[in-house]
Amino acid sequence: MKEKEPLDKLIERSRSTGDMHALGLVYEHYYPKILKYMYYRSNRENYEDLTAEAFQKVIRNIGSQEGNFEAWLYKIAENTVKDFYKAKGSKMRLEESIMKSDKVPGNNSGLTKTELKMDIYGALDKLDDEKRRIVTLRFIQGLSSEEVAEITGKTPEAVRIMQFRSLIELKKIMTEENVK
Amino acid sequence: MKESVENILDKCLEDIARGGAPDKILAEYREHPEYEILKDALHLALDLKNLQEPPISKIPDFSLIADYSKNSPVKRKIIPFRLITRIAAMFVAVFILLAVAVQASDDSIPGDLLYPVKRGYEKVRFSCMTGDRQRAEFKMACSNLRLSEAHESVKKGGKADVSLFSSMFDDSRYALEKALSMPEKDRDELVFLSAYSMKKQKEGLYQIYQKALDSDKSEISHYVCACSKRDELMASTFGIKISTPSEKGCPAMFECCDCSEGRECKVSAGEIAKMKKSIQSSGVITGSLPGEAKKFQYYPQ
Repeated sequence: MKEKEPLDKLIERSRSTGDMHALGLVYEHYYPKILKYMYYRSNRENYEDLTAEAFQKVIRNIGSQEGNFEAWLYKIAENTVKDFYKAKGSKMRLEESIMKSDKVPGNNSGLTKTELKMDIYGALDKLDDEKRRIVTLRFIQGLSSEEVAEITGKTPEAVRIMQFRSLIELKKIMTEENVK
Repeated sequence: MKESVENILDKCLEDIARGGAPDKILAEYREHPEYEILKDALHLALDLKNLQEPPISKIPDFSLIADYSKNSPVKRKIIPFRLITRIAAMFVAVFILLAVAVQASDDSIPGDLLYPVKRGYEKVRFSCMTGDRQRAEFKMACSNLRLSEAHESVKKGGKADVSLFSSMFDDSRYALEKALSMPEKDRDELVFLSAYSMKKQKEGLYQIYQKALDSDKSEISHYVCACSKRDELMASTFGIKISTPSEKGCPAMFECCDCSEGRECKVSAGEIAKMKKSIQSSGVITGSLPGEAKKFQYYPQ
């Protein structure tokens, strides 16, 4: 709680006075979160550039920011990803990179860690964009359903339904892939 | 009422986020009918939560990003231009498509795919016209066109579409009524042209009658009779009588009408051409028009 208060004040200061030092501290706090979001929302080669681009937009528009800062930040991040793929003219894809193979402790599916990750990445890739966005925000980023609702402009109830359906769909895709 | 599985999943996730043990939390819902689905979903959610963090060596210096954001051009300005270009391209494409469809529909007849386009375009053109004379002439042309379409249909061995004859009469009457409401010079000229057009329609209709299927002849004959009566009325109301040499075989066999007057070749084709030329140059027509024109009915009985 102690950390949150100064952060709120830092955000307020950067918003009202354009204090770049305060904004720099806000940046340091949110950089890893946005980087992770970009990593799972985009092709994993461009996530660092996209994160930098999203923060450039934050710097340019902080003066006009209103309401929940974090929700605003995630919206900027999402728009940056969309603009990138629109300009590139390609479908959003998660790259299937090869990972080191080792067993996942306590994983009753018997899949190796690599296989499990490959499975999840592949399945995420097959989810429609909106569901993937919900999954990334809710499970990978660890936001609450209320926070996801604010970012996506849906009701918390709609988010709860969508997150459940997305998980079921992911599971189904993974099972089908394993059968193949 | 049982709590929905979506809400239970959300509650479990919140409890786990607060430090609860997944298995213990799940155990509370063992009796739920969708327990297995819930368990799978929750395990998958936890797997997603434990996915690897992106490799990060060092957070880039904020001052570099701030400097770059000040110096980099704002790309947004490109978007509206691109959007405008796309919209313009879309309009051009739609316009071209419509123009091609209208052009292709020019020779269409009832039953053709593009025939509604042709009729629709006629309506659009008509509604765009402002002058009375322009509208009257257009309707006269439409009236003749309906007859040509019927002729084409019958020539191709099809059934004669009698609704075309009704349209022909409607358009023709509209043209005449419009002509009568116009200033004297235009009125005289257009009434004469209407009479001429009606005469040609009568001939055309008779040709259609001859080529039509036997089953259609009875219905078409009513329209031929109506044409004859229309000629008579034009003669009695406006004093205009037009007969052409090609009118041999005028349908006198129809007992329902008396068109003996119309059969007399009072005006030759050459004279008609001369009259038309005279109308175009001076606006004077042969024949006499009563000062007060009457409305009349010439629909088939």
